Amino acid sequence: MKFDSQFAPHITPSGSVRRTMQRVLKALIPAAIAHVYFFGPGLIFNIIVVGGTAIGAEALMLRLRGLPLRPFLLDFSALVTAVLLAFALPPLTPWWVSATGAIFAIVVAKHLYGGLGHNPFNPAMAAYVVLLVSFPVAMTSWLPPLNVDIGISHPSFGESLFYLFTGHLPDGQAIDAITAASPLDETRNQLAQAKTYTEIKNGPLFGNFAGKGWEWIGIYSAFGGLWMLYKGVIRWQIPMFMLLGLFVTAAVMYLLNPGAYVPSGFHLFAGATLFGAFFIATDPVTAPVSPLGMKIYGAGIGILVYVIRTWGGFPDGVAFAVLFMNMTTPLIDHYTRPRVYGHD
Amino acid sequence: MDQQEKIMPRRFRGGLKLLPNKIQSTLTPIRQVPIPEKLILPVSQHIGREAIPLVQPGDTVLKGQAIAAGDGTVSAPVHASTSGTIESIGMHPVPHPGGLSALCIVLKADGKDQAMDTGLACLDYLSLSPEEIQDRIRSAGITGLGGAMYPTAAKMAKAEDRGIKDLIINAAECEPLISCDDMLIREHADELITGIQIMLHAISAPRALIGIERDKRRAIDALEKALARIGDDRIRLRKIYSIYPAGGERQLVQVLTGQEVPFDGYPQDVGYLSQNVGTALAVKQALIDGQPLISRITTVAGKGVHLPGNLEVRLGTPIADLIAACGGYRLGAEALLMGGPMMGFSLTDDQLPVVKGTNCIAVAGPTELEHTSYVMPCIRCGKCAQVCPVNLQPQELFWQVKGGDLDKAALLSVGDCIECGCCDYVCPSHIPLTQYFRYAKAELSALDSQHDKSQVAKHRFENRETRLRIEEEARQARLTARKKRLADANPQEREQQIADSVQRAQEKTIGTDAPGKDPGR
Repeated sequence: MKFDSQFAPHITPSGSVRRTMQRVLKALIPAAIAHVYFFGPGLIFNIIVVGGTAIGAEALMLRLRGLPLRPFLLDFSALVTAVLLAFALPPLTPWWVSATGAIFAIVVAKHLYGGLGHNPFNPAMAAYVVLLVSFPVAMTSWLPPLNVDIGISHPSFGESLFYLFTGHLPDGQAIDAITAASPLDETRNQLAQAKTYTEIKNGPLFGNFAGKGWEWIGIYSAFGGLWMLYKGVIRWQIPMFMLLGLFVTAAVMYLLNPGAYVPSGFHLFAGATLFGAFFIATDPVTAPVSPLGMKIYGAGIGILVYVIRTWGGFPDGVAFAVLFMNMTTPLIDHYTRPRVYGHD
Repeated sequence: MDQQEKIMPRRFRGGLKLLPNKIQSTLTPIRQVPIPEKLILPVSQHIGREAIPLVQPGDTVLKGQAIAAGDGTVSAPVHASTSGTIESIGMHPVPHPGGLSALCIVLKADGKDQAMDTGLACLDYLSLSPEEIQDRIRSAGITGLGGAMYPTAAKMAKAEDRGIKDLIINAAECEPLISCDDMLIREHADELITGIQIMLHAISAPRALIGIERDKRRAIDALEKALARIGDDRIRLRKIYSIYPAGGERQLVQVLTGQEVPFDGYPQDVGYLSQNVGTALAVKQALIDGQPLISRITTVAGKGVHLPGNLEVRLGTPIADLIAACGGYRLGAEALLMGGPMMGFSLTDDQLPVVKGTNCIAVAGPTELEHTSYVMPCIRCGKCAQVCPVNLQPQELFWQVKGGDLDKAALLSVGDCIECGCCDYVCPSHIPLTQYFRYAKAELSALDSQHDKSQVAKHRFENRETRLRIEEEARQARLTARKKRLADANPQEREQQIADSVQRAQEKTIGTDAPGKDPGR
């Protein structure tokens, strides 16, 4: 009897890119629920706009590059990028801002560099930063979380949808009318006015650990992240060392001058720390691979987040810190190659 | 005994927990495959130089008779697996990953299975010197039966000088489906121990460690009982965790001793010599029963055969006969493999013969293999690096090999890849990583030998140039000296010298056909 020839190993592979990406999407569900709970349906709108645009852009680029649509569209990588970007956008973002971000992420940051697996920068973060410098007002207009009484009423579902399409509210008001500074922004401003952390913490925007609502999105992100760890989608080194880098740096500064800096616990739960640690910094394409390399990379992000938050020009620093460390990935990989068996 | 109860720590990094799928082939005892009508015996069933045929077509041979002689140290003779007539000697397809043909001796069995006295047996083997035992092992054509087929005597050579601390008996059998070592231990534990004792003597080693996966309970039982019966405390049992590829030679040395084997060396270099259990049994059969290596135990497994099991089979038996002994193919049998699913290679034809390294014939059923899925780009997830037992960075090697930078791949130690297939298995992008590395290794070794050849040519050329220059200088020096003498001499002597040299030149002309031409040039 005759048979076909095949290459070893003759065993069905254990996973797929598609399953990996699906797991990332699943792990985002708890954080998404928290997001919607505290900031309304904006995230859903953002996911629809960014996701739709990203998939369209992905299909277009695949067609232009002569690649098959099916395996690449079904790997869900474009959707993961889109959802991560959607999380970074304010709950109320005009559609053209979201769509611009999606197109930049997929077309420029991903496909112009060679597509899946080849992009040196995290596409979601690259797009976020482009939007931040191009649409600074839209990108920094955060709604206050629900159940916060600072004299602002949350927009209704209809009002939110109206804003999404037009960029202003039905009664003609601009977005400022219903938004507030984010807790990190608020903290910066107050610190600049020589208020102490204890005073700041008593403000209406603050909850148990950090900003109201935000802290819970962070905690739910961590739940999703831990599940990904359990499933082997991500590894522990990057999140652990990013949090450690941030915590230690913040602790040192706070101990040196408790009046001028905020305690490190605040930093862990504030802004995008936990979300970034588990979902952004762990993007495998743009991060180092060796265990030591991942530790250096994670710690670098953590320290940079603190530096940018404390002395930089933006209230949160996760996106910039990740992009900066993306640049160092090839270098880190080069110098942290583990010793091969039987070599000195 | 206390020491034998505990399980060795894991020690080597990476690896995989795979479904063993060995139960199916261990339900029935080892079966005998009937003598086939025709046996195809390749003259090269080992690593090293081909054996040289000793017979002519038409010769009648007895079972156990050498039909091809080993050529040098790293080689092994081939013996007739049964009695019969040599039908032909010629090229025949052999089991090889590249589907090559090689020189084979085709033996037509006469069905009598008449054995000859090989003179290999020596019941009082302790009276033989280690070298004499090694010679007999060499004459018996024994090679590593775990799959690598390295001539056993060549591996043992100079063991005494190197000071072997431990003989490592590889009974790990970590690859899924394969169970021939497991069954061999269950049914031949006493003989195995005798084989180990002979080997200990042959390499003058003080101790033997049998490394076996802890879930092979019945084999462990059999070994413990045999050890208790024989009571040789030089031989110790070491249970190890079932992590593929714990049975890789370098990995097993690491698990059992905690030491790594240098990348450019062998276990012998650090004081360990490793042998497969099948090899130990073959040594016993040669030295005690006087039977050279003419048969082995082979597992037939997979969902593509009706009755998987282990078979004692004569070397040279067509694989089709093994399948027939296992109830034949099941509907939809898709692929035929020699070796296990991780490291085995596929065969295109079941008329190929069983050789010394054939530890397993796997027949994949219709649902066992993945069907060509689209290969996605590498997403650098690093799972491959996590499971690599050699601590390579497969994702990086893949990058370099794909980009054609073999030098860089060599720098990153692609040559140390043991081709275990772990990286392939975990790759979410389904990149055939092992295949890339096999290609790189083959290309690099081809480049190497090319480089060697050109180095030899260059060396020769330079030597010739130097030789010519030295000769020319010597000639010039002679000429100058002669001219000087001529100039210094008085007229009478000068006349005499000129006359002499004219005479010398004339003699030379008469004496050679091509005057003045150096035949060496």
